[in-house]
Amino acid sequence: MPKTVLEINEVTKYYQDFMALSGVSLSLEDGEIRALIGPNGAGKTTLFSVISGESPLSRGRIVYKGKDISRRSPWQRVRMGIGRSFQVARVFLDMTVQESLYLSLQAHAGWHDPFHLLNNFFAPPRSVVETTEKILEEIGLADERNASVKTLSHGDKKRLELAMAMAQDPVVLLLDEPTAGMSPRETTDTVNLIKKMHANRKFTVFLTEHDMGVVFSLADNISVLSYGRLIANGKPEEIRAEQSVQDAYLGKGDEFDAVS
Amino acid sequence: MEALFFPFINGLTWAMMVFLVASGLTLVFGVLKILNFAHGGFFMLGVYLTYTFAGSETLSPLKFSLIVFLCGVILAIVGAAVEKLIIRRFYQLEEAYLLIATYALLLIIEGAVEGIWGLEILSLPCPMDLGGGTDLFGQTIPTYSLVIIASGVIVALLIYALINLTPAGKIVKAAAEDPGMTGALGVNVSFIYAGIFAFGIFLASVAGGIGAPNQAITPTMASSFIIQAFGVVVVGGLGSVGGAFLAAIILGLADSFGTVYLPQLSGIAFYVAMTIILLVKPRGLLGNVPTR
Amino acid sequence: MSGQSPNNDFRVLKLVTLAIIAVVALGLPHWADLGITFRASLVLISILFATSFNLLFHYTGLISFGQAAYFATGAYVAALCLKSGTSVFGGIAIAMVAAGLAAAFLGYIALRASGIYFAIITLALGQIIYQVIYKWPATGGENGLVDIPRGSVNLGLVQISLSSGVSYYYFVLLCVCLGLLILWCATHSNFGLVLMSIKQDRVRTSFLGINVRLYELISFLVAGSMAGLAGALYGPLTGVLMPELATWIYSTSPILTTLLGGASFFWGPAAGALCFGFIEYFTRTMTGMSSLIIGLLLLTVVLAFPGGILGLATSWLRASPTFKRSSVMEPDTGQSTVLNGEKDNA
Repeated sequence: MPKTVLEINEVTKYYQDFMALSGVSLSLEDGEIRALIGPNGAGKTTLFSVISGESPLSRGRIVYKGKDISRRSPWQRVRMGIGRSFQVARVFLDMTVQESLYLSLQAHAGWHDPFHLLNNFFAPPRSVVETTEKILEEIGLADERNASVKTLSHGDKKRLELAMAMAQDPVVLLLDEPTAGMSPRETTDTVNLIKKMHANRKFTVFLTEHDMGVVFSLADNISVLSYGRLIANGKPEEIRAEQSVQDAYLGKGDEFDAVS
Repeated sequence: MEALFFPFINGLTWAMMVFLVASGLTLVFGVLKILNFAHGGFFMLGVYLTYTFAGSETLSPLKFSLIVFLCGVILAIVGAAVEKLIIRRFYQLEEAYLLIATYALLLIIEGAVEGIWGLEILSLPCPMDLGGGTDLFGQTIPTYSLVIIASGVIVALLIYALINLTPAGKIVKAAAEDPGMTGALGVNVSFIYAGIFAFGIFLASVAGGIGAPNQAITPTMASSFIIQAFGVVVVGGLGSVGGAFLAAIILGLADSFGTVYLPQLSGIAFYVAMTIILLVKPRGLLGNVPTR
Repeated sequence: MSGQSPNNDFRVLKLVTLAIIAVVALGLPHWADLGITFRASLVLISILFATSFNLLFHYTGLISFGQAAYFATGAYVAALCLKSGTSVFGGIAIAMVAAGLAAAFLGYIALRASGIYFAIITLALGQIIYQVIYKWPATGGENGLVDIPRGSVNLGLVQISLSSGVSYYYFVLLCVCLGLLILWCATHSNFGLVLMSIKQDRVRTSFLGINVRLYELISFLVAGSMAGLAGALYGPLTGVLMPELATWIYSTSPILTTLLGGASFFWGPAAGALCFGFIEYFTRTMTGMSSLIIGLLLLTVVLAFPGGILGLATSWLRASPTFKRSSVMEPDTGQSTVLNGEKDNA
């Protein structure tokens, strides 16, 4: 029996009068890769921002490893093991690639070490430097280590953001459209990268994606959101056959691989 | 009764004086999104210009009003020029640099005033018949306090009417909310910016002229008034004239009653009240204009 | 990178500059008169004051109008300690703690707001400290504090009196260098990196599991205690403290200094303070000219050279044939010798 790691329980979210999420319930099992799909405006990003704590939920609960985290602030949730990336990569443009990873790793090292604030004033420890090297190789940015982040291509920025989240050993990783805006080649690379990292580290991935090719090549399970409601849940082949899913997409005339 | 009446009148007088300065400041912020330190400088120039034109003789209220109005017009023209030559370049700057650039303008005005009029304290007599006291509810209060209170109320009503009841006011409101769209509809937005800036300076100068007979005239008055006006504008909610009016009254009364009941803490009540209000309502009392 | 000749040339230039500054700073009392030595001490103090402000401004991205209040807190606490017979270092330590705590406490309140509202709240809170100093009998109220002693430093075997202008100058030089060293370490380490990340995107920073508010408070604590150290050195130098030191007008001085020198450089505030020292020296006899000139200068800097003096110097160096193609004096983004061992950086 697989263990539930994150449970979303009857979550409702209002923006003023507009109901962006309506009683969404979903649970993520340890180690699975689950894709969240749905037409534009279905509430995918809203669900992510509610899970990660970026915006408060209106009703319902989010339970992580048996603890209700609905009221925790974002940084506390990250420290508990819920990492995330953003739809448009939010990286620190005025830093170098290497500094970005140092920042992420040092922060991670400090979570459980009461003396990390003092550590902050000295050179990074050997372990941080070594891990940074390893990650730079893994994401293929070793030659760009001293490049300013703002000079990176869009795809590299997204990969760096992914690496920054990965560096913190998350238990659950929320990826908001990890391949959005990438060329077909970059998309393939990124899919392979996620597969490789997942194989090495065995964390749980929850991702949204418009590119159905990516969804079907990565996901163990798929959940479908439409107008703020969860309309289907299941294995990729089940979802493919599901009539209500086809209605939700085709009824609105959206294309499957539309990029928002 | 007496114990409450005088702090009330004092507080209200102070409130309306600061509101007169703050009204132009908040109006300019509402449209141009600039919190302008130099506004205090133009207020001070209004004081000194009025002082220079009015001379040491006691004038009739009509003549005095005319001088105040004329000084306002002169400085409004100067203000329009300053907007065109200098302020316009500020729009692309970061918020912090913007604040500091207008502070530089304030320093220049202060230096110019020191150079032209010197450092000594000057004073201006009240216009004829306005210098004495008036009986109100059995108490005698300075007539000029009533003049200032009345001016504050009149200016508040005038701005309200201009913005809400005239076609020009509607265009200005539109330009404040969405300059891009308003420009696309064929309105000359940069002309409106210059106009609003000049009008703000006009209000600052008129505030200076009205206030001139009621206080010591020194080159440091700009920085003390601009801080109080900043407080009122921010507490009221940036860009809201009504909010500034309300905030001026609340802070003015807090300060004058604070001074009466806790004399050792006079001067602190204003800042304490300001801080508390901003902590409870971080965007000010009636604030809805987003900052940049 | 380190093997390229332009960077080596640049390293030489930096060493030469450093050597010249060290020689001038150390030798100044020997060729200058006491008046100039006094002004030099003041410049040193404002270098530390402005650099402490820039920790908040450039690194954390907060514009504080309350720095003068922390400076004054340090100045008054140190002066009262010295007057009651505390040792020089004891007085300074107490002053730094007091100013740092005051800054962290006021920062805690002000950080609930953001943007212009934050700036105005720091200003209001600073004015409250000013009013307290102005009203409180213990601080001398509106008459200020006078006859502040300079004390002496006990080095075990020798007792060095700081009462002469020259010995106090060296004492200020030492303390300011130590303060700058602390600020340099704070900005050129992971701590500085976290502050820069907060400035660039505070929400994103919190999604790295970083308690943003805590780091902001620590930066207030460090900046406040350094402003307090500057203040603690100021009182005994002039012998007199007036409550006006705490007003917002005085808070603008580190802001002006920092922008003039170049906010995006660690040494920008220092360059600005030096420049202001010269301006004040040459305009000391002109009524009103000082603020007129400072205002015009500031306006020019903000509009024409937002990078300040060092920004201008950098672009000149970049244009010169010797340093072309090199990454001469990149603006200080926190990248550092501490972080990047092989990297050349200021």
